[in-house]
Order: sequence, then C-alpha cells, then structure tokens
Amino acid sequence: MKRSSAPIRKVCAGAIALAIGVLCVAPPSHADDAAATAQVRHSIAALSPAALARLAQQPPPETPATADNGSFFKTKRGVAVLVLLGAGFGYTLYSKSHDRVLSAVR
Amino acid sequence: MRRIVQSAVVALVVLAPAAVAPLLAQTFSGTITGTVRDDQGGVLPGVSVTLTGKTGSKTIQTDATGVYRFPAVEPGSYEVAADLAGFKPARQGGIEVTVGSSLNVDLMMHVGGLSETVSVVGETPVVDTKSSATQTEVSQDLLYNAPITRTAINVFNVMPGANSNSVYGGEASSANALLIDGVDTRDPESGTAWTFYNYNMVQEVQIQGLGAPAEYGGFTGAVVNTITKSGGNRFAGLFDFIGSGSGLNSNNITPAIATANPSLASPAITKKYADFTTQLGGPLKADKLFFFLSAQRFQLDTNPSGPVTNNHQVSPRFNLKLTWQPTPSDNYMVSLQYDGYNIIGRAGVSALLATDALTNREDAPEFVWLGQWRHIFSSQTFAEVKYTGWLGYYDLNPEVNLPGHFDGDSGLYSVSQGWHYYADRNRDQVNASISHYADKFGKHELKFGAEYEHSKVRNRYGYASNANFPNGVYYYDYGGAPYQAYSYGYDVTAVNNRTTAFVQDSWKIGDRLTINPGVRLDAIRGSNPTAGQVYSTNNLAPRIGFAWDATGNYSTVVKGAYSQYYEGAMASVFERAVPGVFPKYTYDVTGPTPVLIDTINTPIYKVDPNIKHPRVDEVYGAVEHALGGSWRLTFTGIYRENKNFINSISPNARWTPVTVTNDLTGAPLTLYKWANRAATQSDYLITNVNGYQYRDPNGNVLGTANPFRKYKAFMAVLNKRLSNRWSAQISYVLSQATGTVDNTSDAQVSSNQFATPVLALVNVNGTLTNDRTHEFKLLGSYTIPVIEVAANAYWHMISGRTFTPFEQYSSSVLGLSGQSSTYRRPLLEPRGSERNPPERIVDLSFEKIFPFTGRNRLGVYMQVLNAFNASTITATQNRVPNVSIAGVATPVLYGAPGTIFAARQVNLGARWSF
Repeated sequence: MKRSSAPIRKVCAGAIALAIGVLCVAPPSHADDAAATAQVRHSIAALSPAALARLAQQPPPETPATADNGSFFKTKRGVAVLVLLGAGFGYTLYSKSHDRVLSAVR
Repeated sequence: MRRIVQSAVVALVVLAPAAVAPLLAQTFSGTITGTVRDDQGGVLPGVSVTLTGKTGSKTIQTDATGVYRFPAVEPGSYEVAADLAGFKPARQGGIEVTVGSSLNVDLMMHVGGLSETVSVVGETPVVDTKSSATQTEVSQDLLYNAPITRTAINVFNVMPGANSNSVYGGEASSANALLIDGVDTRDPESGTAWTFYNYNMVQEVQIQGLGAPAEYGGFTGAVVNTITKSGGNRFAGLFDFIGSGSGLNSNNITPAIATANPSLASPAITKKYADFTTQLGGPLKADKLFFFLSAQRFQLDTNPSGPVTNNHQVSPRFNLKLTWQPTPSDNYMVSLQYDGYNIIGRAGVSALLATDALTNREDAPEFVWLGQWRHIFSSQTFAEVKYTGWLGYYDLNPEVNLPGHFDGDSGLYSVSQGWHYYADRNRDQVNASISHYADKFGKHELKFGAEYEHSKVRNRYGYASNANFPNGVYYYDYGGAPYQAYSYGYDVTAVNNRTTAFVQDSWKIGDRLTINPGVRLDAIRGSNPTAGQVYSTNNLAPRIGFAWDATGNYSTVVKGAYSQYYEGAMASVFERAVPGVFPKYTYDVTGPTPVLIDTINTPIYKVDPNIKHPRVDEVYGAVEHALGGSWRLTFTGIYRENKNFINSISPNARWTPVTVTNDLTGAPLTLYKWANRAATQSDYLITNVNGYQYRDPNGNVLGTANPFRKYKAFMAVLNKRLSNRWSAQISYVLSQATGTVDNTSDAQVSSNQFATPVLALVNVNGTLTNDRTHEFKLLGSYTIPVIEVAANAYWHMISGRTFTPFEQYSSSVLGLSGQSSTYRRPLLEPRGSERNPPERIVDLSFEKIFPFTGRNRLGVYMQVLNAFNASTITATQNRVPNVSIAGVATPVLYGAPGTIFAARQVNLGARWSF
C-alpha cells in the first residue's frame, strides 16, 4: 500500500531550487546605493545655509522609556497584586486537585 | 523643554498612509518599514530610527535610499522616532502592529530647533492595498467589551459568513484550523477543538479564510489564530471576575413550546457561573527577559434543558510564558499551559433521553507547549524555528458503573449509559521558516517554510461489566425485560505524519499592483504500529491572488484570489483501516444462562491506494473602499467547492429495491435492501466515493454516488473604527450552501453515509443544514458621555438552519440486522426541505470604568445575553412520526421544537487592570 515518494521529492527539489534562485537573484534593497546616495546628496545640498548650520548642533536621540523593576512589589499596588495573585494561584491549585474528576484508569 | 506638536501636524510629517499586508501571519509578528525624507522630498540616509515598544527599543539607520525596516516585530503598540543632527526629531506613536501586518510608516523631518519634537498619532489606514487575503481581527478590546460568549471556540462566529462554527459553508468545527500561538490544538483524530484556554489570555484573534497565503493549510473552513499575551518592560496585570446565578436567568419557554415538547418545559438554568482570572506580566531583566503568569478557575453549574437536572463543570487553567532577548537580533520564547476540564453530569445518550443516571464524568487534562527562536539576520532577512505540541486525554466514565439497558419497545435507556471511552492524544510539531525582502523586478516579501507534524490517537471503548459478563455487556430489552446482550469494544491506535513545504511571495509591481503567489505541499501519512502505513497522500495546493490599488491613494483596492486548501492530517479518514476493534458478540439472555447466538467480526477496511485528500477550491473577489478616515466598505463575492470526499463503501455489495411507506406523506418510498450482506459485509473500502455505482443483484446500476458541497455568497461589510466614541461592524451576507454531503460537525470523513444507497441516493441532494440565506450582524460600541459608560451590542438576524424529516425503518426490511440504526434512516424529503425560524438575538454589555492614578483601571460590567429573551427555535424534532423522551409519557411529534435558544442571562463582573 506504500506509494512512491518520487513526485513529492521532485516537487520539493523544485521548490528549494526556486527558493534558492529567488534569494540569490534578488539582492537586498541597498544594492542601488550609488544612485540613491546621489539623490540624497542633492537633497542635503538643497538645504539652506541656516539649516546646514544646525546639523552639528542637534542633540543625540532621546533615551527610550525605562523598565519597571522589583521595587514595584514594595508599593501598595505591588503588594495588592501579590496578594491577589497568590490567592488566585492558590485557589486554582486547590481546585486542580479538589475538583478533579479523576478517571478510573489513570 | 520640548514642544510637542500633536496630530494637527499630521500633514506635515506623514507622507503616505501606512499600508497593511497580512503576509507573515503564521510567524505571529509584523513588520514596520518606511522612508525618511526631508521637507523637500529628498530621502535621508543615516537617520537613526528607533522603534520603542513594551520590550524596549531598537535603533537602526536608514539606508542610502532613506529606507528603514524593522522585521519580526511582536504584536503591540509602538512608537517610531527618527533623529538626525540638524533636524527636528520626528516621532509617530500609536502604531498598532498586529499579527502578520506589514506597516509602512514614512516620516518627514524638518530642519528645526534643538528642542522641538514633531509628534503625530499614527493611524493605520482602513484599506489594505497590498494583500489579496481577507482577514478578520478580533482585538483584545473587542473581546473585553463585546457581549460575546466567553468560549474561545465561539469567537469566530461573530465574523461575517461564520455561524454555528461553519465558516463559508464549510463543515462545522473540524474544517477549521485552530492555532494558539502557532500550536495546532485540534484533535488529531477528527480536527475538532480539543484544548481549552483562558479567554483573558488572548491578545488578539485573527481569522483567515479568504485568499489565505500558502503558509496556511490544514483547513477547508477558516484558520483561527489566537495570540496570547506576553510580558514587557512594565508590569501589567489583570484581575477579573465574572459570574451569574439562578436569579439572573429568565424563562423563554412559551406554553406552546412546552405543550409541543414537554422536555423543554423547564428551560436550561445557570445555577452558578463563577470565572476568575489573575495574571501578571513584567520584566525579570529590563529589555532582556520577561515573564507572563496567569491562573484561571472556571466553574459552571447548570440545570440543562431536558431530564438531566445537574451539570457541573470546573476547569482550572495555568499559563507561563518567558521571553528572552539576549541580543537585538535574537528572540526566544517558551510557553506552557496546563488546563483540565472536569465535568459531572455530561449526558451519555441523546439529551432528550438522558437522566441523571444516564450521564458520565469527564476527566480531560492537557499540557500545551511552545518553544520558539527567531533570529534577524538583517533588515532584509529573518528566520524562525518552532517546536510546539500538546498532550492530553479525555476520559468518560459512566456515572453509574453498571451495564446499560436500551428498551426496543419504548425507545428509552435505563440504569446507566453503560459504556466508557478513553481518548489519548498528542501532537508534536516542528516549523521552520525564513522570510526575505528583496528589491528586484519589483518588491518582494518572500517566505519559505517547512513543517513536520507527528500526532497520535488512541481510542478505547467498552461496556460496564457484571458477574455474567466480566468483559462488559450492554442489554437490549424488550417490554422492560432483557432480551439480548451485546459485548463489544475497541482499542485503536492511529498515527499521523505530515511533512509540509511552502513558498509564498508578495510581489509589488509598481506602485499599485501586488501579486500574491504561493504553493503549499502537504505529504500526509497515516499508520498504525501493527499495520504500518495505511494512508498516503501528497497534496499540492496552489494559491494566486492580486491586490490593485485602484485609485493610487490607498483608498480603494480591488482584490481576488484562487486558492486550494487541503484538510489537515486527521486519523478519522483511515482509522477504520487499522486493527483494534473487538468482535461484537450477541447473546440470548431470555433464559437463566446467556447463550451466544451471533459473532460479528468488525472488518478492517482497505484504503484505496490512489485516494486523494479532501480539499476545497475557492475563488473570491472583493472591492474595499475607504470612506473618510474611519470607515471601510467591502463587497465580496465567494465561490467554494469541496472536492475529494472520503467515505467508505462495500465495493461488491448488491442492493435490492424495496418499497416502503413514507409516513410523512403516505406515498411509497423506494429504499434498498442489502442483498448479499453475508458475502460482502467484511469487504469495505475507504476511498473517494465520487462515481461509485450502486448495483442490484443483476449488476444493473441503481444510482451513482455524487458527493458534493458548494457555497456561494455575496458579502457587504461596513467597518467603522473607533472615533468619536463609537465603533461598529455591520455586515450582510447572502449565501447558498448546497450539496449531497452536509456541513454539520463530522459530516465529512467520519460518517458512513455512502456505505448504503439508502443514505447516498435517497433525497440526498438539496440545501445543507448550515445554509443561512440571509445573515445580518451588527457589532457596535459607544461610550456614553457624562456617565462614561461603554455600551456594546451584538445584534444578529440570521436565517434558521435547515432540517429534513427522516424515518427509521426496520433492520429486517433493509437487511441491516446488527448495524447501526443510522443506516436505516433515509431522508423523507429532499435535503434541507424545511427551515427553522430566523434567529434574531441581541446581546448587550455595559461597563463603567473608574480611572485611578497611573495606568490603573477598575471596571464594573454587566452582560445581558439574549437581552429580549427571544424564544427562538434552533432545532426541530425531525424524526417521523415521533421520538420518545425520558420521563415523558407521550412521544414528541415530528415538527415540535427540539432546542430553544438560551433564555436571557445576566452576568456581572469586575476587573482591575494596569
């Protein structure tokens, strides 16, 4: 009843070949760097002298938002969260065994 | 001090509206890309572009063409900021990344002051001009607010074209692929829903069904992707409780309904509903390691409609998820879920015939796991590897552990349901994919992937035992006394192996046309440890679609696709071909000692070596048009046709026409008696039954099997996203589902419809059960000013399901002694000749939100399901002339109400989130 797997191999081989081919043929977007850079240079050159003067004065990018830390659990909200979390997990754990309808064969 | 310029400057900063394309959906991430330009339109290279989300920030530089790209972005809310010396920093916030979205966020930078930031609130466009697929997203907000029954499997029934789990006319439930974080949680036997998860875990549900890309397979209805929450840099928690009680139920049973069907006189009552969730997510190490924990306990106690008085369900559920980002290019995620379902009072026979003694206890625990690694090679390429799976069992033990009895005279069961059933399941799956963005001959978004699935099914069934029958027995009574006794059972193991490869592209040609080609190959094998491989199919599914930006301004898109979707690996298609079914022994028990009078060896079926896997072919086209900034109008036409129906036949069976009386009309009805049963009852073949000819003893053709199912639909959908305090989705679907194979649950491969011409030929062609000629749905939300109460409504008016009268004829007339009574129940009228009344239901919910300091939010809410207490008949008693009901002296006549939509119920809840 076992069937030949030749067709599937052919299709797989074709798919892989197509994949490799497309990956190799299609270069990443920065392949046209030269032409694009020329366009950018043209753009910057068109800026006003005042604008160019400000280029060197811009501050570095803003630091992204900081993360919460363990001190959260020392706040009133953190304590409330711990209490509720403990109660919820505790009761669910209790339910897991207490409410279990254990099958006769397990 | 920075000056924030808000959305009024949108026109100054945002050049092009973002475009959304659901390409990488099974990756469960999205992409943000765009071009940064100066105010004269020139592109800006070397700009630092920073993406900030809940797990931190990533910064990249624009390339020489001013283009940046963040691939593999987790779903969530983000801000993109562009910084370049000499220019005002530009920021766009409110960018909502959904699964599979490809957002185009272009930024314009102005030469400006040192401390000025130009910020805008981003707005995702309402029309997707790049994808040929149509998908529906059910957001966390919608899940929170909409009055949708909190059963995850039912969520997708709110989408246009989906009702009673049948999507676009497909077979209900088992035709739909159900994925949780990419884990296929369906039953590997029949494809139905198996695991249960916490409704409050859901971050987003995405429903794909039309023009789905090649990475999706294993369905002929829809794909339901459920994405669960994960932790981030900020602690985020939810504590939610919702409950109800008997005082919050109504009664919608009218005197006419109670008279016609006394078993419905007392409506189903929710005695206790208590469902709480506690969950917390947050950082273990800032920007690097995050956790998410959740626990839920669900309890539902009901007094169901019918003779059973108590049904008690409890399900504890735990979830843990860890996310680790050791480098900006690597993301690891592991998750584990435990859930158990415990039920007391589950009806063990037909609901109308079950009493409390005729119920069983269900024990069904399971674990679901996922391990995932994603690596970003460059802004053009990333890869993902997943190992997923689940393990569980589902046991049903009789409430009364004694042999069961069925009385052939009264049609009633007694003593016990009499049987046990143990189902073991597991699935392991490995997926790997690579995504690549290329600019050659247009712009490409390519994805290649491979998957391997190994899943196992073990089913055990048997009867309760007593002293005379230690191996189990079931009694057939007549007139209240045992007449015969049966001994039977099985222990069947079946294994699925599926190997899949796919490739797909989103090929943008020019500025307005996108082609979405793809192909998927599924190699499905079915086996048994003893019998070896018994089932083998190789399924090549092409997909081709297009999307054309008709106006060139992202406001109107014309799209369409041709797709083939194959069903998943399901053991039910071949499990009759594996050993493990014990003989059926029949005893005469009218005397003091049981006497063996018959032995039937259940045959092991053969499988057609040229069998083809079931699939559906789909052609669809749509026009989407943006109306203003918040509205979208979509017209869609759909045609679907199922192919390769699998069923079983007895190739050499011969049938003699017999004439019986159709007791509905009094007219003669031609049925077929199995003429050579003794010679052919052990010879069954599992095959694609299309074209099989049923013959009489002389070889004359009586009829030809013609299994088919077709669905045609026109859909109009109007979406209004949230603005000015309200949002809505209004849809109308005109559809027709016809065929010879129904679209109810398990109607496709696990039935034996074509084993007899009685079910294959007689009145078989017509309208399917889940045919909803007219479907109108309104899902709306409005926040009432002053009192700040969110009011939400789900109003649906849908044509009722069809039904067909049937009659059960005697086994001797049809030569089917000892066979299931199902084979003796021909349709008395063409399929779907009758229709239940339209369903007109309004569900409401209200929430009063009390804002606290910071991100705290306390809400008190109320759900009112079936707000107008409609007494809608959802099923009709369709057996002619009547059916017996436990505890009711007079049988219920054909045409009486069978089931009624649940009466009005009020649920009350409260939740604190931050």
